[in-house]
Parts: sequence; C-alpha cells; structure tokens
Amino acid sequence: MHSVYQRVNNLSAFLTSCLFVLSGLIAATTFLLQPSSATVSNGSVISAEHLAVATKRLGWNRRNYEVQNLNFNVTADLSPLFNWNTKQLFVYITADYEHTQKGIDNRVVIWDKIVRDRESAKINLTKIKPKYPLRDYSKSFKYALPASYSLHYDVMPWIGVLTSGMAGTSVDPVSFPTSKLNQATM
Amino acid sequence: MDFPFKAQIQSLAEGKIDFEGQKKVEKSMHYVLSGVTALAFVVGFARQSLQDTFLIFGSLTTLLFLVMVPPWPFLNQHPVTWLPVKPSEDSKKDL
Repeated sequence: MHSVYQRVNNLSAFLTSCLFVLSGLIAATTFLLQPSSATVSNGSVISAEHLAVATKRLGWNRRNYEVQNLNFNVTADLSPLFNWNTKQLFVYITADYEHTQKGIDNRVVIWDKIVRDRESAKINLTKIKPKYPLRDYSKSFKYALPASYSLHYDVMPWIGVLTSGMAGTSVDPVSFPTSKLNQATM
Repeated sequence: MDFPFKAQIQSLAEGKIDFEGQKKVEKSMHYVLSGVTALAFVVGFARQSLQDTFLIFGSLTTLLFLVMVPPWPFLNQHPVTWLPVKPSEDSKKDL
C-alpha cells in the first residue's frame, strides 16, 4: 500500500468481492420474499369465447392457416410478486389444447404484456382480442380438442435467477367451431 | 526526459505513505467496506428499495476512496528513520 496505484488496486479488488457478496445476498432474498404460484393465482379469473374461424395467409411463404378468432377476459392480481429485487414481470396468456390423433399437446401464446410496477400488476381486462394469431402447426383446427386458457408469468429480478409460474386457468374448456374448410372436406 | 517540477510530480504520483499509515489504510479498508456492505443490505432490505442499497454503497465507498488513496499528512506522521550512509571503504574491508 506504499503507492497510490497499490491502494487503488487493493481497494478495487476488495470492493469487487464485497459487491459479489452483496449481489449474492440480494439474489437470495428473492427466495424468501417471492410468493408461490398458488398464492398469486388466488382470485384469478380467465375466460374465453371462441368466435368464427378465419383463413389467413401467414408466414414468409404465405401458406393458408386457419386462425381462431376469440374474445378473452382476464382478472388477476400479480402485485405480491413485486419486491425490492423485482425489475419487471412478463405476463402471457396461452391457449392449451390437445389433438385427437397421436395425443399431441399444443400451447399457443396469444397475448403478452410487460408489467413494470405494482399498480400495473393488477390486471383487469375484458373482451380482449389476441395479440398473436391463434393458429395450429398443422394449419387446421380439424383435430383440435377443446382448449383451456391460462395466465403465465415470468419474474425478472434485478439480481438473480429468472423464475416462472402460472397464475390461473380457465374453468371450462372451449371447443373449436368447425370451419368452412373442415365442412368442405367432410 | 526532464520537465519542470519533475521530482514533485513524480512524488505526488507515487503518493508514498509510511508503514503506520499503510496499516491504518489496510485496516480501515477491510472494516469500512465490510461494514458498508452490511449496512447497505440491511437498510435496502428494510426499506425494500434497491436504489437505497446502491446509493449507500456507492457514496460511502467514494468517501473511503477519498480518505484512503491520496497521501494525506495524517498517514505520514511516522516517517521511517533511516540509518546514516556508511563510507564505501569499510564495506570493501568486510568482503
């Protein structure tokens, strides 16, 4: 520590170690403060209503896809997830359904939102149209069983591990209406 | 390379402090930084504000830098008393 350079060097090195310990402590508090999915989904209500199926040209090669139009309602209070270490929440709604053949599980994200503070975490939306088209990988909803809608969230901390959870599902499955495309082949 | 006030600038850049000063600096660095880390965490956790944590940490660390790094007079109060230089003929006799 005899010269200025030595003192600056020693101080910076120890400072780095202290910052590392501080960051570790802050990341650890998230495990204590963050509520479980079950607590957060208390009082969440999600419902959806299927409308007509349309055929749209989507994708880079403009293929014909069946797109399911729908209205959905969300009521959820995600504010317990906000603590000192929460930077933002990524909230998204998925449509989950299976196929009759091969038992294939499908999950399509139809809407998402970034929530930056506690007040915006109280979600109360009615008759929302999906942000992203609800379409099937096989381009048709012929083999699709009735769908349920669920609200998921990702918690992004300032320091630490990204965690996810589910904050509610719709109660009764909603069936897909037969489209003109299906009726033509049947 | 000679420029005016070369010796003064060099000694300023070196910033030498005596051994007692170095001990003080080393001790204060360990205690203050550990204390500041603990304080910053506790205050931030109590007030649930990460901004508080890093404000406390940053400001107190800057203060420590200002106290510790420049060669202040209070760090140079025990200068080493060097022995007088021996004449060179005596050392040749010892060999």
